[in-house]
Amino acid sequence: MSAGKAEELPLAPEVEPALGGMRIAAGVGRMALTLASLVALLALWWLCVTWFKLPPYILPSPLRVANALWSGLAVPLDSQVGFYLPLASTLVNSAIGFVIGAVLGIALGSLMAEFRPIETIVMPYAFALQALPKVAIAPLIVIWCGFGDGSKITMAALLAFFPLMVNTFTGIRTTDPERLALMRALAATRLETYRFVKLPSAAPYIFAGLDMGMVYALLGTLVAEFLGAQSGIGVAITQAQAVSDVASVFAALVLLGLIGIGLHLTISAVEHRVIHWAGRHKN
Amino acid sequence: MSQGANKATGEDKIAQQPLIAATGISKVYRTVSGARVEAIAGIDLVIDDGDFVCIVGPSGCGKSSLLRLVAGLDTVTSGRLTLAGAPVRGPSREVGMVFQNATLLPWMTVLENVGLPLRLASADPDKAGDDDGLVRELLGVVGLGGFSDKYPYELSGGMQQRAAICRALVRDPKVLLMDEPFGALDALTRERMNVELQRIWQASRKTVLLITHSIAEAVFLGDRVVVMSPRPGRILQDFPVELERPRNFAETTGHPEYLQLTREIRALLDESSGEEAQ
Repeated sequence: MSAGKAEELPLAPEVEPALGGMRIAAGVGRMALTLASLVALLALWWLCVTWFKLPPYILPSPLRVANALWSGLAVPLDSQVGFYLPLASTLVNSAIGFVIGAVLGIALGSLMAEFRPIETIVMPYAFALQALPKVAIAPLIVIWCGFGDGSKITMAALLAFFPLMVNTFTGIRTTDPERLALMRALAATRLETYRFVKLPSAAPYIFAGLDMGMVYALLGTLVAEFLGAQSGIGVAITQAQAVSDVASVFAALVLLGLIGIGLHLTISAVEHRVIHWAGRHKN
Repeated sequence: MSQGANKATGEDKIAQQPLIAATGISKVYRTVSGARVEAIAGIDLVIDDGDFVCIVGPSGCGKSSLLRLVAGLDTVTSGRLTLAGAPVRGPSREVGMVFQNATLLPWMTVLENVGLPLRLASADPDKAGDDDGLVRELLGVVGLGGFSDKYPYELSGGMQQRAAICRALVRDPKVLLMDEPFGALDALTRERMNVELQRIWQASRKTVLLITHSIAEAVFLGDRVVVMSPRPGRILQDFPVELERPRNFAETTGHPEYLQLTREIRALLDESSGEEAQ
């Protein structure tokens, strides 16, 4: 896109501010539309609740949810009743599981892409496990790892593992053959080729995998928490459900949604910094 | 036919081996379906140190296969191929390769890209930057002095290819192999790159083996133009080019010998393949 900028195109500097202004205006317009649709959705929700006179244990109004959210957040950080402690537990376990799953996924994906025999051996199991809804394994994991953090971390790692393994494998296998020929002509070792060419070539795929894996890790932790843990946001949800405090369930969901968005934006930001070249490359 | 002796200076040719010597080399590929494809058949080619040899031929005539053999990326099916007297057994430090696409690694700066061959050859590839001085000097020679910290996507196609030429030269190889290096560039950039390459070659005095399907480019650049037949590739004729250097487009392309040669080569290609010549 910004190809010949350095050599030709002396007009570019004059044209760009106007274009930049338009781009900002378009961005503001999009943001306004997103906000407007959010307000409309909340209004619709509120109208439904009042028109159909839905009781709060079926669908609480947005205001009740906001109240529940506030009462869960307006407490000291170490309070036993607020959202902070369960949230911290869930996030820490998800993060640990995510890192373990991601490291193992990238490692196995790389090994499979590099060594045909490993691919031949592992691939059938990988596909079988991939097809299996992995949350169905959760009861088994709880039997093996107990009701503590072990189960949650294991579930998070297991769910984060697959997108990273598959994406790393695909990314490495789709490395531009001309780059591989270059490395061969330079008499590079296998490890050098992996490190300088294959792994960076796979980076866009790996980041897509990290993006998915992050959400999956959170999902895995929550499932393990639903199955009878002592702490975590999943426990908070089941406890609220037990006393028909649906507003608190919604509040927890809103919180999880916001966290999901935050994690996605974090990964995107890191991705833009690390693989700034992706998509702008031409030969 | 393939004597390449037009540059011989008369000194003891017995002790001085040709830099590249191919004797009756053939290459047969097997396709996925198991069919035999004979890419080149019985090629004899001798290239002396410092020569600029261009190979022209129709698409698919096996000229790229020939280059890959010299680069050590493939092995000959039969015949004998030597580089500086030793049989080619694999990629060698004495060879620098330039592909049709610049093939710069987009995650590395120009400096890192050009320095990559040195880094791979060094004892400790983790330590980058030892040879930055050499790399910067080389980038200066091709007019990329101010671009060492840019990323490839910030460069035009011609600049990318100049960086790729630097990368091929950075280990100071004896031979520069170029596989249609300017084929992806527009016509004007291509002409400028031809002049540029001639300048770099005159400064470095490398042996260059360049593949192209442009007759004009081959005659403009080469000391010799080797014309190949359609597949299986054979050498039809080896034309010495006596045009004075440095050549430039304004004068050289109007020179009677230039016109005569391009006409002869075109006729030869037309004759051998009918529709293929451009």
